[in-house]
Amino acid sequence: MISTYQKDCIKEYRNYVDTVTILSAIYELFQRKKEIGKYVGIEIKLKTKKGIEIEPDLVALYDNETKGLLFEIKWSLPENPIFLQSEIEELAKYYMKFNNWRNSTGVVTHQDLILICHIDDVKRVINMVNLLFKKPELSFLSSSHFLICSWTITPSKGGEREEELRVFKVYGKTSNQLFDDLLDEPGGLLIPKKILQYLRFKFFFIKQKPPIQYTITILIQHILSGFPEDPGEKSYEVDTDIIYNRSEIFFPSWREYDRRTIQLKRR
Amino acid sequence: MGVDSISQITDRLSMEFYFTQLYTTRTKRPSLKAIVFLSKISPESIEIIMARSNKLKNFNINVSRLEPNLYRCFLKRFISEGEKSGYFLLDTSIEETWIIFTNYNVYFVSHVLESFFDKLYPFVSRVYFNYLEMKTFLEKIKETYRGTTTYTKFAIRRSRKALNLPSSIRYRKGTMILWERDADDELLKQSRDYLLTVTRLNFDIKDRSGMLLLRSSISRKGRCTLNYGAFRDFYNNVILATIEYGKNQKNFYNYRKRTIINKEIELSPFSIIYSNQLEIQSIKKLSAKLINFYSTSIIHGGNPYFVATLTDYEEGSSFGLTILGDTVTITPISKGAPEATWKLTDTIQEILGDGKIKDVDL
Repeated sequence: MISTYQKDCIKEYRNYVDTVTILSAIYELFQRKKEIGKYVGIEIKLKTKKGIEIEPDLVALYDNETKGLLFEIKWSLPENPIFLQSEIEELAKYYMKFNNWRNSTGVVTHQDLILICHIDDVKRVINMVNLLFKKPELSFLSSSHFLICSWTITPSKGGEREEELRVFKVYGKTSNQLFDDLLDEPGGLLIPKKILQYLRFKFFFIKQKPPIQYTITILIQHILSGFPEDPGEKSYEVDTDIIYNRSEIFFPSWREYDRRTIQLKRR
Repeated sequence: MGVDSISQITDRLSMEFYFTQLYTTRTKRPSLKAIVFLSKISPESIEIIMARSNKLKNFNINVSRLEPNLYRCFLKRFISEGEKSGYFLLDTSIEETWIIFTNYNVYFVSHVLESFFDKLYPFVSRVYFNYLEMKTFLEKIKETYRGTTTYTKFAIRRSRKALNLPSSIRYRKGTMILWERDADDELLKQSRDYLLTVTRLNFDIKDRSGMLLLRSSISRKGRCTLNYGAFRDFYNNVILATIEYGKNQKNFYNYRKRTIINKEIELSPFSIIYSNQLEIQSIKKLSAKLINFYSTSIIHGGNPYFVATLTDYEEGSSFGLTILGDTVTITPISKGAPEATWKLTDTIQEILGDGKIKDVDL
């Protein structure tokens, strides 16, 4: 018999893993349908003139690289309305003017933000957005550059149809017509089967902090398990630097970090 | 010479002479078993591994080198009823391959010898065949013996697909024998109700006059048996073919770990494809059994979409495993050693039945 605490633990774990799958799905969409936009990177840093940095989960450019698409993927959002409000208000930072876009000018005319959240959180998020959109500093919430999406894995139908992953719109729109049209398809955007089959193992983390049980599992299953068992050696010392180096491959932004960032993250 | 005559073999020549003499006379005697393993270590390292392994504490081995690449070993296992022991020869003349020869009884081979070498994993690993691979192997044997007649049969293990089957239908589980000519059609028919796993291929090769040249068999796990025939024929045509197959298959499973090439994450998955959609009951059976062999983290339990990450805790490789429709997909993640990948593929097929193994078209 599983306790409520265990059930929550499993649910959080599953939500996180499936949300990471959505990152793979969005990444794959930009690889497959280049007409939507040009994929720029995962967790890349965008900087303002004043040096303020943001790090969306995925960044793309469209309309001849003159406009930006930013994806923020959340596996869980707070139940507490105060904290949820704070999370929504924080999204305003994605609308600052950045000057290091990876195009010829370094700037874009505007950017759209797509917030992808878990279906369990959608209702609360929309209610909160409806409460907040009239605030002048949060006008982006009612603009044509803010979209909220969610996703679902639809159950199979008695052997007639396999389970499917679909991403669908729940609020707002973007000025990327092609992208919006895909989400407007009946039932939402059907994600290719290969995402569910193997591309879900491409990425292991999104930017949002994972539940601790997930981190422990990754560490045990994929990192610590790889240390050699040498005949004749019952035990040996493992330096934390080695564990850190072996973990890097599991972070999409591993290649972006310079030495200083790595040192900071380790603290 | 009796069974213990292995203890009197002193070199490769006397081994060949002894086995040829024994298996070309028509008398009743235990068959010769040759088991192919893949290993990069030297047999001299066995004692070092044993010293640090709790799994091997009930075993005792004495290894004597007869000549370069040929060893005579005496293996003892302490079990509740006493102890079981026997001799075997270990041939390491082919690179990264160990061939074990013994004519002791099946109990010794299964419960002492194979059990011992299985516990040496990952330093020593198996060669595995599924039904389609055994058919390909058979074609190779037939090619070698062109102009002669072969009589072949497959031993297939049947297990129920689902636990709650209609009581009106009488299901039989266990082993069934299929003659080669009927095998494909019969298997397709049976696969509607059963999970089917090939366990052994038996074959007789006769010359044009009907005289028996070779009676042999090969098991799912690379155990070759000689019942009748010249040892050299058996070695060249059955054992070497098994080794060649093993090395080719090892190459298929090699270099598959999740890696980064030109700053992009590269995956190298492969699939096991079945003739029918995999049912919830079969998937539940798989997940219940996998946790006995692997450190398993199940994300979706099979409704019928199944997703899990697995770690071979003896070897250290980890994998992503999904089941969708009629396809099982294995994605090696870290380490991705070929022996671990191959072992996992066999474990899955032992539970879900044999399928068709195919690279994923990326």
